[in-house]
Amino acid sequence: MADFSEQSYRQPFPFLDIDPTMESLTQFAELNPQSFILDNSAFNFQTFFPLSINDSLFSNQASQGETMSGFIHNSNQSSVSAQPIFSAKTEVEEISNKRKALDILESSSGNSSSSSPQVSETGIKRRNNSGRGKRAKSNEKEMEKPKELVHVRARRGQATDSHSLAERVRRGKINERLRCLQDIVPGCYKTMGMALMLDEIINYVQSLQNQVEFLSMKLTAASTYYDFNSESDAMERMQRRKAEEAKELERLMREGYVGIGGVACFHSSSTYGPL
Amino acid sequence: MKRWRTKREHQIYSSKLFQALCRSRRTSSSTSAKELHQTADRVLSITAKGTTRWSRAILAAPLTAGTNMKKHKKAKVTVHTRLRKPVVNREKKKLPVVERKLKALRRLVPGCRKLSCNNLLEETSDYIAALEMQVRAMTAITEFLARGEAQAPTDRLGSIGNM
Repeated sequence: MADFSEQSYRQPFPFLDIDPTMESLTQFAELNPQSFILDNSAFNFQTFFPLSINDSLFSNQASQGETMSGFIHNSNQSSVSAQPIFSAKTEVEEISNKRKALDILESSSGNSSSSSPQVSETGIKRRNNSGRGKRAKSNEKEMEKPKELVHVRARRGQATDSHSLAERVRRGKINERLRCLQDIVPGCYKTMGMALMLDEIINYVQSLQNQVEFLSMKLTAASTYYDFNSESDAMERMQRRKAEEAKELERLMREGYVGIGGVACFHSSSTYGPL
Repeated sequence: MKRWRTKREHQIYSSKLFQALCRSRRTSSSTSAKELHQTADRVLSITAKGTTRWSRAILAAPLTAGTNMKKHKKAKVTVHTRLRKPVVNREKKKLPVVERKLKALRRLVPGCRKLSCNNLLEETSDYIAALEMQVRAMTAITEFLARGEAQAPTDRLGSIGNM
């Protein structure tokens, strides 16, 4: 298997520093029926491998590691550690519809000398990116070098100029912050867009501010009856009581804020002294 | 954002608020709700330890700023506006929807009038967490005062009865 791969793969990938292990990977990647079309020579290799193997290999993720290792060992290439290849190959399988084999090859060739966590890191980032990418059926390849500083890879069919990349990074940051807010603000679905989310956030902030205002009125009313001169041991008493009440309140708060009508639940739960 | 959920912060804030409340009670007999609201906000910003923009803005704002009537520029009404040519605003698109909402959010969070979308969202999340803690603490103090008051008159009555 290694023989014909060495000869023919030199043509389509002249810029690659081809290791024998990488060749097996390219071979394997080429077997993906939905991969991009490189050369006519690429098609020849599909005939060498029965389709059943391809299906079993690509569909069965559980036994993927074993079959992969078997594949590699069969071709007598075990010098390079198998781990970077495995992580790269899991990407091949998972994003088989959308990924670019070229990028994987590039990154794996670039990172094969480095430690395996790096590969998995870029892999994860790529997986996340491609998971949201378009289903491009274009036949063009996009040749890019891996960008070390900015860990963003341009997806297939998308512009690669610095502006769009920077914008994508910015949008990613904003989406991350928005997701943080989604966890805090009750009543936010994951499918909500920016505008709806902002609506909810604004409503929630306003309701909280109203609550604080209401509570301050209540507190002034409650404090008029309180004798502040005998306050010396009141702090200890208060802290002790707060330790009991804090847990209760937190529970109530969390339940009460589930809906926007949480204000009503909250008010009903608080006890009113003789005001 | 996680720090506003800890019990420690909750205790710190409520104890400081109680102390401030006592102090203000001793100095001036009359405490309005607005004054207490302001004190509560200031103590909250102090608990934030100056890491966030909204806390710094609250502390930097002058005292009793809310009572002064601010004159907005838009409040000026002149008689001659009708005589001028009306600006055709129907064709002009309003600002994009998201931008308008961001503007509203900027008005709500103190000190974030000119912040970018990115930083604004970060400030908002911290502000929301802080507000939640403020609500919890103030409820606890109110409860304490209400309960303490319910018990105190009976104690005094008891002591008076013994005499």
